[in-house]
Amino acid sequence: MLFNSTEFLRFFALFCAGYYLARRNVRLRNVLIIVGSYVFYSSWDYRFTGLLLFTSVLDFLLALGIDKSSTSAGRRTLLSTSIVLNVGVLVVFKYFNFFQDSLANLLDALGFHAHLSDFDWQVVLPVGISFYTFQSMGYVIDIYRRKIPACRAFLEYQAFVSFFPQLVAGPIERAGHMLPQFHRVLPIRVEQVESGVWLIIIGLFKKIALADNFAPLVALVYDHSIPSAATVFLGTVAFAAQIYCDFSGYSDIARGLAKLLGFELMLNFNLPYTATSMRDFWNRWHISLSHWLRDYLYIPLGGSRRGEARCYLNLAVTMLICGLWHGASLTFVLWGLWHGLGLIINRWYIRHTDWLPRLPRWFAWSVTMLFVLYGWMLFRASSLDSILVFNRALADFSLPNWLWPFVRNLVVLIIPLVLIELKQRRADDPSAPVVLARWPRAALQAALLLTVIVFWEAEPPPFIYFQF
Amino acid sequence: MKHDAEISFRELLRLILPTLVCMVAALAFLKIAHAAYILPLPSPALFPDNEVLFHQSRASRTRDPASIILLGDSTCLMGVDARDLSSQLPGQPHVRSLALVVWLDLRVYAEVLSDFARANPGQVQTVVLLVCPTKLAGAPTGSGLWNQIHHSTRPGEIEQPGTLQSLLGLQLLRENVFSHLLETPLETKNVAFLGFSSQLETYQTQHYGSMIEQGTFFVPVHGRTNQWRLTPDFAAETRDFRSKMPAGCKLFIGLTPSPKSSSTPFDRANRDEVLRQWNQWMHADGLLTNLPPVLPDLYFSASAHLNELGQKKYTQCVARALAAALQDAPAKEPAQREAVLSP
Repeated sequence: MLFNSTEFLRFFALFCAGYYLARRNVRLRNVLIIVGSYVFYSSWDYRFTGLLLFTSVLDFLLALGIDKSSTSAGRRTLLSTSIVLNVGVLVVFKYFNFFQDSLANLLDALGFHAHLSDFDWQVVLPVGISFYTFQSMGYVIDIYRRKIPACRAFLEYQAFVSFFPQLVAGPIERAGHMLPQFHRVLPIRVEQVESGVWLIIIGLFKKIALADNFAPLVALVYDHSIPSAATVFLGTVAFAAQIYCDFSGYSDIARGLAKLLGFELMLNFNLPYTATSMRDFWNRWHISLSHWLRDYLYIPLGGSRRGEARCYLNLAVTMLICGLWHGASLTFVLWGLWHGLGLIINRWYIRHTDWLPRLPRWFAWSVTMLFVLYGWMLFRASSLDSILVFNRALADFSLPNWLWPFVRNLVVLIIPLVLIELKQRRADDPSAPVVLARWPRAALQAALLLTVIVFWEAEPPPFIYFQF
Repeated sequence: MKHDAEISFRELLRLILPTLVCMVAALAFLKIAHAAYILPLPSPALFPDNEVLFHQSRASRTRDPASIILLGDSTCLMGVDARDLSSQLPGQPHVRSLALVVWLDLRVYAEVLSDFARANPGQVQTVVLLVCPTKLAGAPTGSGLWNQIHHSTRPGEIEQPGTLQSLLGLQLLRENVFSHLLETPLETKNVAFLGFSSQLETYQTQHYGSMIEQGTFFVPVHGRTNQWRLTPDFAAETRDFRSKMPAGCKLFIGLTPSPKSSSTPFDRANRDEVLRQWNQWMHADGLLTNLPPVLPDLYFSASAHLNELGQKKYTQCVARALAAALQDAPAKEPAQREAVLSP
């Protein structure tokens, strides 16, 4: 059940009707959220609702155990159990196929290829597993660190883990931010509805009108054409725009839906393509993941506290995990390491070049964007061989037949995105158009909605991040 | 907890109504603009699948110096390059491909030809009709979409009922406005070569109505073999086609080739026999029996469509066959040549 499907619109309308009746009774409201979320989740594959339940029950009980445990050894054991089980679930469902294929290739190379088909099991990836596992694991770590008290109401915890607006593609919420919202009655204020409606419209616009129209341009370069420097560059620009519109569009819709229910989700994207350094980029792109990795991985590894070399190693390891989080593929590993390298260079530059003049802003932005774009090429390529082909193509300056129509489409689609982003940047507020006067805002919302309906598909393409 | 800060129904309406009013106003404006012919016509490049039909529909009503017309299904459209054929024929006569698709019947082919002859009176001297063997065996045909394209009062507009967009009248926004802003990427094998439907239009214009399909044919494991069969149902449309031929035109008919992997030992004999049977209804001036019935698989992009290499090869074959046929066929009376038969 995708946010951009008629099925979801029907589901949400029905859910809202029940929710508005039940919203003043916390227990009833939470039950409704859980039931709605499980219905939502089971629309992909009902079998995986058991996994969602398993993760939430496990972490709920382990967190209670940690909270009650009086010894640090006991607390550490329970935390380790949670981490091992959560990571274990991720490894089994997300990386099993990768490990199996790698083992098969290795055995094949060693001459043991006769019986490989006997072990050819393909594990289906449950949608959203990386998101809710990280969210649940973050809660247990917070309890261990005594940052928040353990939640004693299972319904509240279950509603927090399974909350459908952010269940399958984030933002990866923090328990300290979300659990209190499940603990009390939430008034649905006019500003929230106003902002929620805007976020849903802009999110749908980004996904349906922009991302889904960037998609064939990207496919043209990455799946069909003979690559050259021009096509790789343009195709990667198109992919950068596609993945941003797709994922930030999803996050906007998620935040908007939550607002209509009275909840507040964290900001997940903050104009990432205006970043002037890699560090700046990661403070703006997929904020909930980058902050999760910072708080639960980079800092525990030592962060920048154990010397310069260790800091660089920590950055590389963190970004390697970030790459692997996206999927079991060497292309994601390379993408993660590439960003790790970017962060290392960024840090080195800040620490060692005080004597150099500050880079002009436009230059810093250009360098950052080129670095990010090369990263997207690694991310989008289907294999290491493709990466090699695309790299070689960077020395080929031939132009395809379809260069100008491609550029025209790219420009036509990028203009509205840039206008929206500029408005938000000037207002320094990611929900900027809400501050417009009533009728100009209504006209803008109407134009966006009509465009959304024009491009609405009976069988909508899924969000890119659902596969992670 | 106080609940008086919650949104009231009145506030909700105040929030939603202005947007709805703007939407209704925009939809009304679209309808009025359409009715008043203010909106631009849909871009011909909107629907890649229909683009070929739009092009041929326009070409059939346009002044053009062609004296040789290629007619047929998509195997003719992709198989023969009209521009190359023109340069390879003795005297380099102008050639125009008005070939369509297999699911349109021969009456539609005849209509295109009649329209062309009407737009260019007394000019057409030779018609070459090339179809795939499947068409003779009774491939299902229809003309609904063609009628919409060719006989629409607003060229380029095709009704697509049943969608939310058409219900709200929003297809006008997509077809008449957005189609001029956004190119439509192709979804066929041509995507890597041509990229967008507008390039397809450009290609077809540059190649006098012919098209191309890139790619290589992969032979299926259990490949089918050629079926040489003429269905009796084909008689009526064949006779109708013949009756609508412009007077004075020489008509040559032939069958397009199949991949070698689906060939049988008796392909040439079977092909010639089917052609002869067909000609009992068609009464053509010549049968192009010296065209190859099969070609190597590497010349094909699909089981019936030739690729760039195949098109080049087959165009040479057609040029040779047609040159020979034109030499052999008796010349028609000039008076006959001038006349144009209307339906």
